Amino acid sequence: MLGHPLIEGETFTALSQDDVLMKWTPGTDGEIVTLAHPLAGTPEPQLTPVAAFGGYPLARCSAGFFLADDQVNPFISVFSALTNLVWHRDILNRLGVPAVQQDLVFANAGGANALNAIVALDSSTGATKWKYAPNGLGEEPSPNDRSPNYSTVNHC
Amino acid sequence: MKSEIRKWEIEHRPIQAGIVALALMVVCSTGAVADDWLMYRKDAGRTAASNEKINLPLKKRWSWTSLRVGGFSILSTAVLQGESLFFVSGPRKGGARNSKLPENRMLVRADAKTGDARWMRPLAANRLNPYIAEDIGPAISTNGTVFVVDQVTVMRPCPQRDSAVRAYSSKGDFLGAVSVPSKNDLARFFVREGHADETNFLLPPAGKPVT
Repeated sequence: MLGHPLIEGETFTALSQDDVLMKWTPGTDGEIVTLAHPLAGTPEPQLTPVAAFGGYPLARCSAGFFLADDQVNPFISVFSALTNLVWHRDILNRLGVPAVQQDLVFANAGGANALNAIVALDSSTGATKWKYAPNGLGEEPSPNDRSPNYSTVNHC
Repeated sequence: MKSEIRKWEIEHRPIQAGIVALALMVVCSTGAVADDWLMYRKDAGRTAASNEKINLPLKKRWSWTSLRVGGFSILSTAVLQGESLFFVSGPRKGGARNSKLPENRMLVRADAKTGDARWMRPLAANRLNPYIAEDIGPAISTNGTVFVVDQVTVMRPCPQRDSAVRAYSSKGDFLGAVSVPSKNDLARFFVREGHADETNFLLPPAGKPVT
């Protein structure tokens, strides 16, 4: 099942409950791909579990669209096209719906319902600009072994 | 899957419900039509922010109650463009019946000031997801193209439900539809750049492990 769509011009883009990223403009066949995020150092990445987006609502920022999976090998990212990654960053926390203002992506994060904190991210790099977490983000190990890597790399 | 859906409901349902209420109440507050609200959380940045001045207290001008479809109550998030409100609903309770329309879940364009239906288009699925109180609602382009998420039944050879998207003009003309193929027919993109010296790669359908 597809989640809330992002509409840009006459183009529909959405994530599914599972691992599908879809883009479609009426009159075309559309583009569809599935995504997976292997943990760093995974020896056979093609066997890694697929993403579980939960219909996460994509948000437009200056570098592309912001996309996140906080379920399976959690990560945040910006894509400029379906298979064109601008940057990605491994995360450890649950994430709420994003909101973009100028060059910042805001989201609630941390805790079972992602209500422990508000974070502001640089949309062009993924770097944390600031966060408000009065009681901390909280530890949220997932059923699978999440990566301890919190690195951020800009691929622009 | 069920736990993922449940998580989505916990985190997002209050926001969805808020959008439905906002779209209706802002319209009702002054009798004037509010700022356009074209998709979930208003715009492509999901700002959920409007420059509209809201005069309190809000007063209910009209309401829309849906009949159940297939045993489920149906109402989606709503979007607004100009004087039109778009949402997904079952047949309106107490509304005039159109014998040409099946008792289905429908895409509805209603007059934002009066609640009168301008047009309704039947959809294939009775309910996208019974675990979530509201359906995923429609979204509109600035040119007025209305997109709505639906499902279609595909024989492979047994019947399977695939996600689909339908597009309509603002007048309700069907513009096209697309469905999500079987996932085994899709390429898989692996997100890796940022992990030391790893690189992204795309695995074509033929090279994927079957899931």
